[in-house]
Amino acid sequence: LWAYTALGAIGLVAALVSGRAELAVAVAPVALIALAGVVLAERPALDAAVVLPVDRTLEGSAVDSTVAITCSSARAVVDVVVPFSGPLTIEDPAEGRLAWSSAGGGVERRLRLAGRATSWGIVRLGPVWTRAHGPLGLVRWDAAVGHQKVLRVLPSAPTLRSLLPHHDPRATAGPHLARRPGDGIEFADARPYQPGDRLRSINWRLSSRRGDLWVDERHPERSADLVVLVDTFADDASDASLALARTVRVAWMLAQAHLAGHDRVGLIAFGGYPAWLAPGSGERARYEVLDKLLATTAAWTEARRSVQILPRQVIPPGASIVAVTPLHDRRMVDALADLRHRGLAVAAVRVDATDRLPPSAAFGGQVSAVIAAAAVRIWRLELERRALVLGDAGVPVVLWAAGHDPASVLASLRRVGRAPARRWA
Amino acid sequence: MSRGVLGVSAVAVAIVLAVTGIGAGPGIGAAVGLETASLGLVLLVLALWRWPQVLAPAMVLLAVPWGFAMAEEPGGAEAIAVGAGLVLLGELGGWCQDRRTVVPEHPREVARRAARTLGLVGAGVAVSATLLATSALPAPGSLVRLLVGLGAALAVVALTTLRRWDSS
Repeated sequence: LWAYTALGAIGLVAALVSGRAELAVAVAPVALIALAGVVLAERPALDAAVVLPVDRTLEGSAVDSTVAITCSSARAVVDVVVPFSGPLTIEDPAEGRLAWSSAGGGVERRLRLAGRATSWGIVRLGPVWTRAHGPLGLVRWDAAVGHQKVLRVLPSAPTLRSLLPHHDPRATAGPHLARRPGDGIEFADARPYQPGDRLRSINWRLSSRRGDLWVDERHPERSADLVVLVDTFADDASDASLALARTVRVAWMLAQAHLAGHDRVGLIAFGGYPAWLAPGSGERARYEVLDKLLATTAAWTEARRSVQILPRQVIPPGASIVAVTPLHDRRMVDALADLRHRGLAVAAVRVDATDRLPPSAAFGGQVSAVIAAAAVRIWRLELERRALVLGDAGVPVVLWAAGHDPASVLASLRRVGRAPARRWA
Repeated sequence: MSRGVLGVSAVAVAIVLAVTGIGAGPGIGAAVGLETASLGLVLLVLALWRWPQVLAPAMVLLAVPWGFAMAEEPGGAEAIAVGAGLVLLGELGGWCQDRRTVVPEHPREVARRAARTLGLVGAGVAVSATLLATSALPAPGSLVRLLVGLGAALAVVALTTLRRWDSS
């Protein structure tokens, strides 16, 4: 616009000064285009919104949505860009960007948005950036309209077939067998009848063999507290973490299973930005844990980290702690050992992420494949040493390598938990 | 259409405008025109590449050689052609700048924009020819003609700047 305006004005003045009509003839078209472009321009009333049919989905699922645009001018050309962040791959538009040019689509326009949630996390869409072009394209109006929409992508963790054992459950009913006998379903022992015992507890078969009355004792089913400790230490100063995605997946699997079993589940993100959630149960706790997990990010820090900063209510007495960690950071080893020394039941799932290490070619040929392989082996040995250190401190550690079924790995954690050393209990 | 094709096209039109303007101008005008057109060409490349704000001075400087030429030896047909060339240059430059966006351009929009460019060039030729024909008509005294001309020139600037709009 300014090019046309300047050229037209200077040319017309020059024509007047020189008295040459040809100068005016040459610049008259650009002057008229500038005039027409400005005079005919009317700012259209624009409104736009991302319409998401759901606010949460599973990772790997298709995300089908629309961008609804309302434009007061039916013929206006409107460019639409929807900025987004999070684990979403765009399939439609085919260019892989949420950008459209909507021309002459009427007052109400709908643009299709299709994609796929590639991993767990939070996808943020919008607000919608719009650019309306005036007549002749000389004038345009930019605006960000609508609100940001949030889509929570839940980890599609496999379902656990059984829960982790708790040897010190709470007094409320739940899925865990208490060691003390009481009212329950699971048979514990039989003993001679005492006055006050209920008749329905009498074991008639045993009583007929022994000649006097015997009653059954049963384990009462109780709920328990589980605190999942997620390692959020970054691997380098760029806040990258090779294992965080897998770590959160395992943490969610554990939390989901135990919440479904009416246990109370708490969460501790231990690393760059420590965060925690006191144990809770039910749907509310499920959403709180989920939100906390989806917002989990790795952060690089060189500061000292200690479990001493955790409030008392985060780890209630009798709670079991399961740390999900790649053990990449020495401070996590110290923290778990510290928790164990305080008499808490601590176990760890070591998430193996060495398969995600960059290949030697990523270093621009400065590192040969032989040296890179040797470095990986040394790194694995160091991780195994850290696991052994934890084991010696009384923290059982099970390894979850890539491709392993997390449920079977956690089943092995159950077996470790029943080890004779009684470190888990 | 890709930004590169549009940019090269705009630069080509600018070179044609500058070279023909320098060739048509008188000696001193050609020398000055060569310098201004060269600077204008550099500014045009910068405008298309990264700084769209310098498109206005670039177009003005590129038109200087033809300004000198027409002030010295006026020619009606050349004036019409220069007017069409300036419109084409402005449209191609603007189109190239508009492509600095993530919004994809579909073939239908390319055709629409190309048709608009051609239509504006055609309309420019028509306007220039009409104005040229009108200038040949007998007109009142020089003072009236000066006032009308001055009013027309001011109207372009006044209407453009006084209109309340918030274009980016």
